[in-house]
Amino acid sequence: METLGIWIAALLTLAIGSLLWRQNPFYRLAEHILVGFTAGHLVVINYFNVANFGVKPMIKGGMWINVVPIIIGLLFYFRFSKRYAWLTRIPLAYFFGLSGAIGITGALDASIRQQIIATVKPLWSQGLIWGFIPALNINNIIILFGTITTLCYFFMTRPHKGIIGSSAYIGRFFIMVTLGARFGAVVMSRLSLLIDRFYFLMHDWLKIL
Amino acid sequence: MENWLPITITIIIATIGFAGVFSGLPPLMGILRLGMFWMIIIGGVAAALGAVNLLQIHGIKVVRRGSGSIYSIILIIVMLGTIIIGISMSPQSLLYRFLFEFIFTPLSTAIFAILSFFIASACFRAFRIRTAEALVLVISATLVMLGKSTLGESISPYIPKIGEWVMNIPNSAGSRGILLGASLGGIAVFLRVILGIERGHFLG
Amino acid sequence: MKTHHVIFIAFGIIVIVAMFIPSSGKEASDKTMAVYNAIEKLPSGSTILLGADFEAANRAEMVPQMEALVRHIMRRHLKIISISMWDQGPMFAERILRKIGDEEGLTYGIDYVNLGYAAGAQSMVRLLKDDIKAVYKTDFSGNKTDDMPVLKDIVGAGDVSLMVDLSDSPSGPTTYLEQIQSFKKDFRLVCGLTAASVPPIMPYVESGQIEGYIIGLKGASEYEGLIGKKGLGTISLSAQSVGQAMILILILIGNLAFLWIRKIKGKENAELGK
Repeated sequence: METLGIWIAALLTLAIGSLLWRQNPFYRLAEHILVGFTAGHLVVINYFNVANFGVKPMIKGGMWINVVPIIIGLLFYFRFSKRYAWLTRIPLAYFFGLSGAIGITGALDASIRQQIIATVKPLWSQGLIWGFIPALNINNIIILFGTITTLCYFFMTRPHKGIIGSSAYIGRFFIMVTLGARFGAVVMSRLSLLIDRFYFLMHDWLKIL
Repeated sequence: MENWLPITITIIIATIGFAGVFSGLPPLMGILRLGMFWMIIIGGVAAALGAVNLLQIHGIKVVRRGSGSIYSIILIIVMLGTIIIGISMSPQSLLYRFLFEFIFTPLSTAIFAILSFFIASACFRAFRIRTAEALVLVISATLVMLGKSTLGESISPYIPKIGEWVMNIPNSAGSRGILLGASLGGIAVFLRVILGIERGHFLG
Repeated sequence: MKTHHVIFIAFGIIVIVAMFIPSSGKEASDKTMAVYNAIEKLPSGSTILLGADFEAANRAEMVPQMEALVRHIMRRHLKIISISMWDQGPMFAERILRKIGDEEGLTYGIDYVNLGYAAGAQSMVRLLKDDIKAVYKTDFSGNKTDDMPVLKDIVGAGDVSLMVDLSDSPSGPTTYLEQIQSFKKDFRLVCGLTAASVPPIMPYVESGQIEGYIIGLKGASEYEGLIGKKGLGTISLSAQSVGQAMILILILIGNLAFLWIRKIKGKENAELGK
């Protein structure tokens, strides 16, 4: 069974890889299988989620109030009707209102307060170098300076002139460092996935590694 | 009703949400808890929307027998087959786990893996260092990549340290600025919506 | 054959050849050691919340990390409660937990449990903070959670000794921080992340909200070295280095070619101008 699975996986991997040459029927076949399975898997997992969480307590536990969220969820499917498509805005409004409230009340501490505290750290250590030079904490200075200048870059309600303009210009460079780090990280990530596929083909399938 | 009902729902639900969290009053907390339970059920019910949409688009292709309709037939068969096997035999069954491990997972991984090739090609053909900002971006990417690899270590023992420093300090500063900006901006937009100032996204 | 075909073939051959070059494991970084120490220093019998928040597409980076972490946790006889905000993670969690649990002689339901996926993301995690069994009435296999011994001493997610979140997106750890740590200050979090997810969560690492992280395949190889078990993480190090070098060389050659062409065109325009 495992040998059959490995052969199927290897052929599908090569079908996807064939896109590197050009678009072809094998790639399209593999692509459509992937899309079909992804959608199907999402339905399967959520079926059991709704059944265990919503329907069973309703039928066996008498929690008939669970019919309300089921109906609200079903309103999403009115997007396929031209006349009643506006009904999809109701569950969206529910999602937006509650997610916003939950998200903001959570983010206020973890993503705002804690981050501001972590930005404003001592800019110099205790003690003096050679008896008279303050021992500057370069890292803390860079973090404070970088965070403020990056925020200035996103300050869109004032024209970027004068001190705000200069800060925004420096902030752009910090954003470039961030984007460069993210680019480097994405390259590492994709390379890992490629190496995994090569390892599978050479070790598990062809047994030459 | 199409316009005012969604906005009203948003305002009421958001107000209850904030009041529940900040006041700590048991009745409001209870309503908020119920609302969050309902979110789990609503999210689960809405998950099939993608599948229904695919069925609609590819079903039309099959009926019209347009070019590529054979692939649409295969997609529909795979999707419905997955659903039937998964629901009737459970995701723990041997057959479902076989399909997940030897068909779905290799396909998913391979799609992302071939991106490496496209990144390599794009780096050669499109990555042009025309400005100081682009140079900073490339230097940062180089230091981060070399810092995390054995190649960087073999060039110089300082490169991993510098790469680590770039990730920990300047990248943190930039990311924190972006994070704070996005969080504060999100709060501002949300407050505008619940105060009824911003309505555009709910109108047709 | 076009230019990009040549690049594809050269890139592929170089990475494949590099995979045959043996590589030794690297010394663990500070952040990887922080994860290791966080688990190592927990008293025996403590409970760990394991987040399987990744998709099948990123299994290459996440599965080696998960196997190394689960093996370490189980060897230390710590209990595991596995949850997930996404639908694909629990399939991997089930396979890995059962496989390593059997190898280490542990019992499902007593020493570890896979609760699976629950929709709702932020709402789900906020509810989980106070009452795990209210969100997960059954586990991933459909068994009732009411009387499960592994969940006996734990009411909410905030009661666990440590959370280990394996996520392929920065939103995974961020959600746990915002919805649990914001309200329970003693909630501890360490992460296993894909390389692409690390830069956006660095502010949380720098502020101390996330104690440590394992980054991609390299981190998995470091952790495998710490627990004494070699895997794909260690084998892939040479290929990673060579692949990254190739990308940098391509950027360099592309820009040199661009400057060269611009110089030639500049000369031609100057001559035409005369």
